[in-house]
Amino acid sequence: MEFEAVIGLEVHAELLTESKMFCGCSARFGAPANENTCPVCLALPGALPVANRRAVEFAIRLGLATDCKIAPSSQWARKNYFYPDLPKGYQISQYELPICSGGRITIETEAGPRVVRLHRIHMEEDTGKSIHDPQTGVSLIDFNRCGVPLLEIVSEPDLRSAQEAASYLRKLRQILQYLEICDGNMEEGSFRCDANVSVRRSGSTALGTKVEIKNMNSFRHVERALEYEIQRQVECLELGEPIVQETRLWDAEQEITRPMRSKEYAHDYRYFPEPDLPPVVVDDAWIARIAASMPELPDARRRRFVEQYGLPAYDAEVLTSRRDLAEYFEQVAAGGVAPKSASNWVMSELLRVVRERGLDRELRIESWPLSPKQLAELISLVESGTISGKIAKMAFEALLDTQTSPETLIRERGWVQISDDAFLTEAVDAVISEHPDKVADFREGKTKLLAFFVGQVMRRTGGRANPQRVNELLLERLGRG
Amino acid sequence: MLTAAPMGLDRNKVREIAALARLALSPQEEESLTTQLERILSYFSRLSEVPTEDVPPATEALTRSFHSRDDAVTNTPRVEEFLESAPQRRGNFFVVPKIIE
Amino acid sequence: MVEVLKLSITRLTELLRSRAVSAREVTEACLKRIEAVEPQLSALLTICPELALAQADEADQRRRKGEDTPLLGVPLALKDVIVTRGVRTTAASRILEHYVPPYDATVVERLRAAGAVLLGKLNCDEFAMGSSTENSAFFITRNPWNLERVPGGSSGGSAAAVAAGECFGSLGSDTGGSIRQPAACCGIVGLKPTYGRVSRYGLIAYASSLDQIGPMTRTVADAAVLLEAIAGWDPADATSSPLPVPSYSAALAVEVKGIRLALPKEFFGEGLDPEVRGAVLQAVDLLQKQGALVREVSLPHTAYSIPTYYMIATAEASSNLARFDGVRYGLRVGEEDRVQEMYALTRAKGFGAEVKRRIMLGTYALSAGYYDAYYLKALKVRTLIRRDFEAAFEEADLVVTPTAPTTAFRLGEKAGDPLQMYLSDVYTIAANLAGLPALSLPCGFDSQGLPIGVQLIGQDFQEQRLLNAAHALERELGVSERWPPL
Repeated sequence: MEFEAVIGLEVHAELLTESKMFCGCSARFGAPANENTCPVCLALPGALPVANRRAVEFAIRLGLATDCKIAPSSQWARKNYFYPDLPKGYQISQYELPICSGGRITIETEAGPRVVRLHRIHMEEDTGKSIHDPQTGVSLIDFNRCGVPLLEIVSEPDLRSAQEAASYLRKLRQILQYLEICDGNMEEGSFRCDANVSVRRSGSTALGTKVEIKNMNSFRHVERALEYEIQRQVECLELGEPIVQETRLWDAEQEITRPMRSKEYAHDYRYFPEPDLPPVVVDDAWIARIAASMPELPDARRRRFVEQYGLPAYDAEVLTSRRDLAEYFEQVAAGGVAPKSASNWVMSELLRVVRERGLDRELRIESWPLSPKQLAELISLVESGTISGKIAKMAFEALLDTQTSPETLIRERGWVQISDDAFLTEAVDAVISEHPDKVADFREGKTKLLAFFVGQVMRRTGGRANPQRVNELLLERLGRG
Repeated sequence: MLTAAPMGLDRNKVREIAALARLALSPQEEESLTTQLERILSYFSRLSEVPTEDVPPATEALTRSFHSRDDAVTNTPRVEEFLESAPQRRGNFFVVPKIIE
Repeated sequence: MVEVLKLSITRLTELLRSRAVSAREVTEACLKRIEAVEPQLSALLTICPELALAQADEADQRRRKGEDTPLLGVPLALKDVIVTRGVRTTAASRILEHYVPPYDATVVERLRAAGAVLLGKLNCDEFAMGSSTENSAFFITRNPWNLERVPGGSSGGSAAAVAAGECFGSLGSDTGGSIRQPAACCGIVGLKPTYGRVSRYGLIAYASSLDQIGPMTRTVADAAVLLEAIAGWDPADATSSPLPVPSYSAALAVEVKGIRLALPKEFFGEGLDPEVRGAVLQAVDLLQKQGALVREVSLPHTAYSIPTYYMIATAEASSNLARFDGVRYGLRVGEEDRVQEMYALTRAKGFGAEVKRRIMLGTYALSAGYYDAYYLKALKVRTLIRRDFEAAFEEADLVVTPTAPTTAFRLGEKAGDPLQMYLSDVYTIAANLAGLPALSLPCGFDSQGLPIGVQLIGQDFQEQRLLNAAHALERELGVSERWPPL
């Protein structure tokens, strides 16, 4: 019997605002415990929230980027529950009237592009963090993260496989990064995902019993967890066992999902409109201003890269996967080099270094170790024949973390490619005279030895010989006998 | 909605609500609250007499403008002052008894 | 009583300005008076003599340097639901018995900027929940006119202290009448401003959509001075109004000719004490004689205001009081238990009976299956109550009612019957539900010598009109001249 999975995702994206959602505390990671706190985010008696306008703007940006309807007036609501990392005893969120509703995100699947509908996007505040101390049994609470703005992005149950879910997540993250509103770091928790999964017979339109999966801390976890859970549910159905509506946690060690220990206190969040905050009123003029400042989005940019730069679809896909990378590529290409060369360099050498250094979390290319201008110059030097590709790779490494211009570097290090015939002929002749046996072999037809001779000449010249010319000279000499 | 407010506030319901509100009530409190709340709610059920079709809830009536703040860090760390009130602390952390998921 | 203590703030500031008295002298006089009457009255939860004298000396110094701020050197006291940096703030609750806030409420900052001297923190019903101040976790406060009577509530300490001359004025908070009803009980002026007129930042929240801080004083002019000092937009309170604050005291006038008064018939019916009724109607007569136009109106949803109010207020309270969980401040009980048990034990021990009752009621009103019938229904009826007033104000400038159905009741009289206690708020809660400014003014005494209050309700942000009418009436009545026997 054939089954299909029905998956909906709830994503929490932490916003890259300077300050928290409802107070003037820093929203940045990494401060000592409880340094970023104040009467408001610690819920001291009498303190009141005031909404961060930029966080609202970020929500509108995402809404516009995903074709959502932006509510002219949306409402804050309190979600009431007791937990030590939630100081007010309620989370300020949105419930009945979210800021964005009814959008869409298009993902690429094997069967072509597919539209995943968004149910809603709403604003809320993050909670603090508790650290369990196994020695004493107590928990330590740090409220630095408490009150950091979040967007919750809820998809419709339109995803049909773990792979689709992963590509939806990648696409959503890509959009958030393009909009510069979230860094999308799953490991650090600035981009979090819960999934609702059910399975049903293929062709059926009824929905199966829904299971919520939590605790997936990377893209790989999401894929593995969903694969596991779908398989588990299918096996249940095949065995005729009921599927329990529950919340399950992904156990990354054992690679299984297992039921969360049931809470002894029943949940009843008692949502009601937040009386401390007026409704979020968004007028057309504000939306128009935000729309005018929207950056080019990934899909549009990918298409443009193919059209404008003549890049293969694959290159365009990789380069536009991140806004910073696309930005970087365009700056290199603007340096007057062949777009394909620029693409090759960015995708191979540059991306490798960026990944090695963990800078793929850093959205600002200013902090990358080589400027686009340097890379463009380096590629130009190859294109003009001033240096060889091999030298260029050495130069690339040497240029990292410097402000040096590639041209200066290769002059200083004497890496300029040698095309001078007199010099090269001398080297070629020396190699030929050192290897009489090989010369004889070559002349008897072992033409593959040419590469050996080229290598020897390159070694003698410290890699600086123009390989093209060396080739020609060798053939000339060897042929003549 | 013209239907009468749902009734049926019994002792179990009182226990349920007390658990939700994190109030450890004594049996005497449970008992007296059951009687009092029942009486109060039965008086309050007169609300159901009022026709309110098409009447919007008064959630926006009092504040008309969207009052928001600029995204700026205006607070300086005062963690020591805040921790002074903590029932229990360790270093810069607030400490709570065992959390069980 | 030392004569200086009987002065109005307006008169006191004149004397301070002319240096006829110093801030230290009047502050010392207040502290002495507090020492003398507190054993009987019990209006203050915390007295801060050192702080008050230091502030008084500073005020005198500033005065000598030629500075002159509106309240420079005027000794005041605050209801203990208003947080004060470095001064214990309890909300009259065990759960905050030893809590010292690390910040000042906006109104406190403003009073300090205006030069006021803080004498101490005033008793009230726990978390402002009550109508008699008997719900204070620490002690009851007595009515200075009759020590066997309640001072009203929840701002009972604020009313009693001002009436008894312990301070020149105070701030209370009013969610369903908690400024006006005790003002009426103690024979002083109490003003609940329009919702949003005064910042709530630093007011320990009871019901956020209803709470307002307001002045409690011995004269209308004093109320104008205090309101002016504390009112106005606050970036820290998103529900505060950006409308500019008029100079209420400078614009204070007694012109009432042509002012249109509306008497809602629902406020003069069953349950109203005849003596209260008589005094209020007499006050209306006086205004009419000065040229005010009087007409009867109907506010048809008045009968539903009590359940509407209690559903909304307790729902909000159940959420507002969730932060008292023993984690970051305040009482903690059950250290050895798991955290969720610690919450339940802390809150059970920390909250008093009325607070628990309201948390239970509010939790119930918001819980699954009851929200629509109770909470949402109440929000809709609230709209209707507001519309009643809008209709009345189409043909009237002010609505005039009694402040409370009776004068101050006996201590313990209603303590065993929460519903009876709730019903005593019947005349004051409508203004909170509608967000309107309302003022209680003493308008006479009953046969037992207990003060009676008349309530004036105005249109949104029309505090000036309210103050002017009250000022006129005050002058005609001369009630403010009488002093309690204490």
